[in-house]
Amino acid sequence: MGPPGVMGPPSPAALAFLLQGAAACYGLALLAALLRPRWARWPLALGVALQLGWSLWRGLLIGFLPLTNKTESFAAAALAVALVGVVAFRPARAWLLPLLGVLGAAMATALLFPQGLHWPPPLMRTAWYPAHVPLSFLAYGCWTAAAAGGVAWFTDRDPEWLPLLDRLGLWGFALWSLSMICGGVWGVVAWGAWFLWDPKVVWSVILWFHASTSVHVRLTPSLAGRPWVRPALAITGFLLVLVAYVGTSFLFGRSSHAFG
Amino acid sequence: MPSADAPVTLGRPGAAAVPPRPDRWGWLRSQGLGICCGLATMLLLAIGSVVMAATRDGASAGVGLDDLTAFFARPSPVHLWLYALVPVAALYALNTLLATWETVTTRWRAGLRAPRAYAAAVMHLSFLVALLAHLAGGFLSVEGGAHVVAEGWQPLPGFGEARLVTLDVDELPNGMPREVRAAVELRDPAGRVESRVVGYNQPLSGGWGSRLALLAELGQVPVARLASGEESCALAQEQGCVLGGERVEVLAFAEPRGRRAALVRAAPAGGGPTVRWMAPGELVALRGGRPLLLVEAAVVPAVLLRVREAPGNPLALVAAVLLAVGVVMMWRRLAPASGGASARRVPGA
Ligand code: HEM
Repeated sequence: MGPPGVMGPPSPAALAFLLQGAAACYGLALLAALLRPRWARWPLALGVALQLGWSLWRGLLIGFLPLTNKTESFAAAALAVALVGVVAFRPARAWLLPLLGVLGAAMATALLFPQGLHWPPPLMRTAWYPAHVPLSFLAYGCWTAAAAGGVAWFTDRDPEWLPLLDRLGLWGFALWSLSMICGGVWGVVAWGAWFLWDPKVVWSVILWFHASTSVHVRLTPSLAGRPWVRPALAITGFLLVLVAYVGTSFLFGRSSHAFG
Repeated sequence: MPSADAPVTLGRPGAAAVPPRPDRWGWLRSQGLGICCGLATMLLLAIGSVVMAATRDGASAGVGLDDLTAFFARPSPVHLWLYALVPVAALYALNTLLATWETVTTRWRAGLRAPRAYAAAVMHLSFLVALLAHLAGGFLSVEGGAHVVAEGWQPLPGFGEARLVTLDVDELPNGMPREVRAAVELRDPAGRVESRVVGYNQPLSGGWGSRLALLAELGQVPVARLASGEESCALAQEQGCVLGGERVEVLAFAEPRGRRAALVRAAPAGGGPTVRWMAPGELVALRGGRPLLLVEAAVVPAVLLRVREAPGNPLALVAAVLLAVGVVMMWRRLAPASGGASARRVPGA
């Protein structure tokens, strides 16, 4: 999350329909998950397509990556979860329901905020920003999907969930690592330091340690007989994402990364 | 031959047939210790983030950017989380180092040459270098203050002397700056001049990012154009130069009766340094009899550059490159399992 944008060009009325259309698709995916989980992937994919269209249009209007205000931020979080949901799709209610629950909450929050467009402030105008933020949202998406797998494991204790958790955890770790690299370089060119004692940065480091600790659990002999550890860590990871993503902006006061 | 992706069980080399040698220090490189250190680091950082936020105007007031010295300059129980983090991070580093050494040597001796077998080792190395970058950045960084760079040559710590050549501001329809391009010239002690551009997210940088001059502000400032014979210089407030063999400084500007005047400190003929207001066109004699003329006091474009020495940055760059390389080397593990996952029974179905 970067510093808040400043008021931008007028937003065409039709733009809002794309986001609402995506929200409706996600609603359909939820319905499918309840009735026939196998069908949930298609409305989910259609929602992703509509949201990509929404983002592209907004991006063209402001001439920059449309991640400059709260609505765009929460929409991007929803998009990342939906995208990972499509790619790592498992037609299982126990996985889909928590995943779609988080997706719905992010989407509802995006729709609650004003839909206006904002110009990015000058400090956002660097190639590192469009690299840093989408990568981190994709990592959030992976960890959310892993946490949904954790919930599924606690629901049915099916060991087949564990490889999915490991893979999503590792994807999240890799994406987060790349995101931190881009954020660090941005920190140097913007503030002169790759690390800041700022709540968002500190919590990003916490997330990274959580992810790196989690990838080792599978490799730790003393934990081999405790299958619940990985699902529990995946769920904890999601809670940490919540703190890092929204908590740092609302709970810690001044942050160079606070929401607009 | 062991597979490149096979997890290595640390502390228990060569299972079954040969009874393992007693390994008193095995725990130091065990995954279990690594996990404990990871969890402890997370917990301490989480505590620290709350403590720093709560004491931002108190004990943590001096903590800025990547600084670590502020925690030790004024020791306080408030910083206990950081003091505890130091030994935990040290143990974490030792554990990572020993575990990596063990894995790499075991795999190498076993004849494993596939790069992906060493992906995790490269990442571990990146983590160790990042810790060093924290130490270097946290204890050795120096804030060099903010410096006005306008049309006259002025010292810019770490970059010799600098002056602004042009300042272009590209504006958004609402008048906000979209982009700033400050073309500057740098002059080294040998007199060589080099052109550079400064802007938002585009600092002057030297020594792989260890010396930086970052754009803090831009605008217009008054400068006094002073001359002594053939020599001349342009000084903004609180800047100085040498003219006629004497140091001359501008302390302030004022506009009495609509004419801008400069408060100048110089050493006049027959005396120590004095401070006096000079109006454009006014002439005073410097020590040694040379004249000092205020040619004009004009308002010109200027930028304010914040100078920083950050020796941790090059190390952080190395850590970043290693981390990226590690991720790339791991691609096989990241790529969706061909047939594997999808061929498996669908969990929960
Ligand atoms: C601090 C103690 C640590 C120990 C003892 C440790 C040990 C190990 C070992 C033995 C492996 C498996 C062997 C291999 O593939 O080379 C491994 C894998 C890995 N480590 Fe670490 N490590 C530590 C810290 C870290 C940290 C801080 C990171 C973050 C950069 C990290 C990232 C990874 C990754 C990404 C893998 C690959 C996981 C996989 O392939 O599933 N490790 N670690």
